[in-house]
Amino acid sequence: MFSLITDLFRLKILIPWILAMVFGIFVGATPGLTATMAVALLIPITYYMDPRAAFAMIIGVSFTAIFAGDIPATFLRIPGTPASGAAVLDGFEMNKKGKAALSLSLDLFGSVLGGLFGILILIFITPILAEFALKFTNFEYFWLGVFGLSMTAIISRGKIINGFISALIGLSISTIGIDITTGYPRFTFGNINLMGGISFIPVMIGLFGLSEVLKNITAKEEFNVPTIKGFGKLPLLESIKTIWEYRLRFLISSVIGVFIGALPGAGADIAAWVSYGAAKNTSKNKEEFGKGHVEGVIAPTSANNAALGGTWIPAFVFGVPGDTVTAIVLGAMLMYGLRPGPHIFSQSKYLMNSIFAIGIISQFLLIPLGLLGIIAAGHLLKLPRNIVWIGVIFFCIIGSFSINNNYFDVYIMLLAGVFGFLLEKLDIPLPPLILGIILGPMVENNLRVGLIKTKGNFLPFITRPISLSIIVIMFLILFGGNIILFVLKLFSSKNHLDRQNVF
Amino acid sequence: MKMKKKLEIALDKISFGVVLSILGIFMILYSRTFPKVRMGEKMVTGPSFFPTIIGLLLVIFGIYTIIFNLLLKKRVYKEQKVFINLFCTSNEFLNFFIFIFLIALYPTIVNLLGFFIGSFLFCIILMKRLQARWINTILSSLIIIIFTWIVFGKIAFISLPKGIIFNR
Repeated sequence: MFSLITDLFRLKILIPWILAMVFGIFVGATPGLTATMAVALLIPITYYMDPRAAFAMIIGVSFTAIFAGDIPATFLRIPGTPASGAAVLDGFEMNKKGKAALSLSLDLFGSVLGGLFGILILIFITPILAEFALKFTNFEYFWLGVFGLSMTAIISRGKIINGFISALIGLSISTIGIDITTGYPRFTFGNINLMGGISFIPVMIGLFGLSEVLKNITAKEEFNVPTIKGFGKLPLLESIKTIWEYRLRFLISSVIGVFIGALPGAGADIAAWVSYGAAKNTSKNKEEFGKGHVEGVIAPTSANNAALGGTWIPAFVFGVPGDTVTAIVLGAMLMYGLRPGPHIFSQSKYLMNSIFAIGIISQFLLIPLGLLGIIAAGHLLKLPRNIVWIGVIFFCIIGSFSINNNYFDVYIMLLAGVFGFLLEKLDIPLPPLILGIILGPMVENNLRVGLIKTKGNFLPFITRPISLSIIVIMFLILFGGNIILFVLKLFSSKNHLDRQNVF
Repeated sequence: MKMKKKLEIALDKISFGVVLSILGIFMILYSRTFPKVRMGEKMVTGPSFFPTIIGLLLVIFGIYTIIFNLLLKKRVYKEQKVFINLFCTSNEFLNFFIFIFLIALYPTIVNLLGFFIGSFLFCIILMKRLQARWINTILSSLIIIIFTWIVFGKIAFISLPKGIIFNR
């Protein structure tokens, strides 16, 4: 164990790790740039690295970017990343009261502790789940893929039909290339570049990076980011005392974060909103929420970083992404020659332990880097938008080119960017499209192999105990809330009728 | 003054529904050209199986989108029509196409002029398009290019184009 940790502190791992975390702070603190995008841009760089350095960079950048998203949320009322959406509510109000420094210190320590909680749960839960997952066959994996796709309903935020359309487009893209079972090229039209399928990373870079830039350059806005004033000393001790005072709130929010993060398809942004809502509903000071209350800062910030640990659980155990970041990482893992799934714990035990250690150490590295980030944010946010956007475009192009040293990927990125821009204009959410591309092959191959095994009989897909359990869980997650509401409504109207009969 | 709101059918959504349906029909028809797979005497699920299902679902969702926006009178204000409202002004409309065109042209530019000169020109044109000051444009272009060269060219060992003109 000691040698494992000292190995991680070798310069060839530590330097890219810290640089990635600094990059994460820059990306997270820049409105419009997301943690997903930061990871997508880092993947081509990590391609040539030791997998431990690659994971250190990816894990480091995702944790720092999610935290740093709270910086512009507090200063400018603009969430740096989607996961910081809920942090805007009370963080910005605290800023208006002159308490920006306290709010950001709470964000930092809430993020560190929430992240630590998520990683510890990941360490203890994942190996147990992996043993269970070894019992999975094609039938169960098919349903797991469908389960992941069904999360479209949650991540589409009320636009379920649009979400499913997006997922269907992703599934269509996943059918391009050589069919694994028969070796027949599908929808390639004789183009040799399409034989291996549409490369996942340029699509991701285009959908999230380029489309965001296109959205901004066509928006009716100035290209200069507003400047911010200084905000004095950071009250570190006071923020630790405040978190201790609201330790129960922190714990509940972290549990919510890990749970939501572990659901395939959901992510840190959903976790932050849900925990904010739960905090508001259960707090003694619910009327203070939205007016700059510390609980309103602690709840979302601890939940979104705890969710990051949670998102790795389905990714490692089942090979199903917990969110868009892990969706990219799954693609990257295949690139490093790793096969996500239950066997990863026996086949790559040393690497898995290294990943867990990286998760924990990243939280401690986040404290000094986060503090520097908060201080530097004042300067970074003064950068004019036009410079930031051109830098992003340049990274999108070179990042896509570098995957295969092929300009075809640049055109794929460009196409995905324009497509993503238009889809967002039509209110079509983009994350389900990624789910479709990632989970398409899993669903198709397991369905086809399963049907070949059963000679075309679909019944074993729904009668096996684990398959049935997955279907029930999926059903409960999707419709459980509605069922409870329906029962409550029925119960309350029955009581109402009873009362009417009494009187 | 109370503005008179003029309602119009959501043409953008209907067009999207039509595109989805056409894509679905294309997938179904094209999949029919894929070979059939047999195991002994029995036909099994071949390469056309999954694309056909996806195509069918695309057609269903496409038709749903058309019907929902056309027959169910899902309407939007004229100002909200997507192909009009995509861009607020002609300048932004121009920005969009200039950016797309230049990104598409970038591989040709760097193949001809090499990574440094091609990228420098590319950054300058785009930044000036976004009204950056000259000093900012030149300095930040240089920083972005040198940073990318170090990260991709030196650390990640990506072979960046040297250019046909200057490599003779």
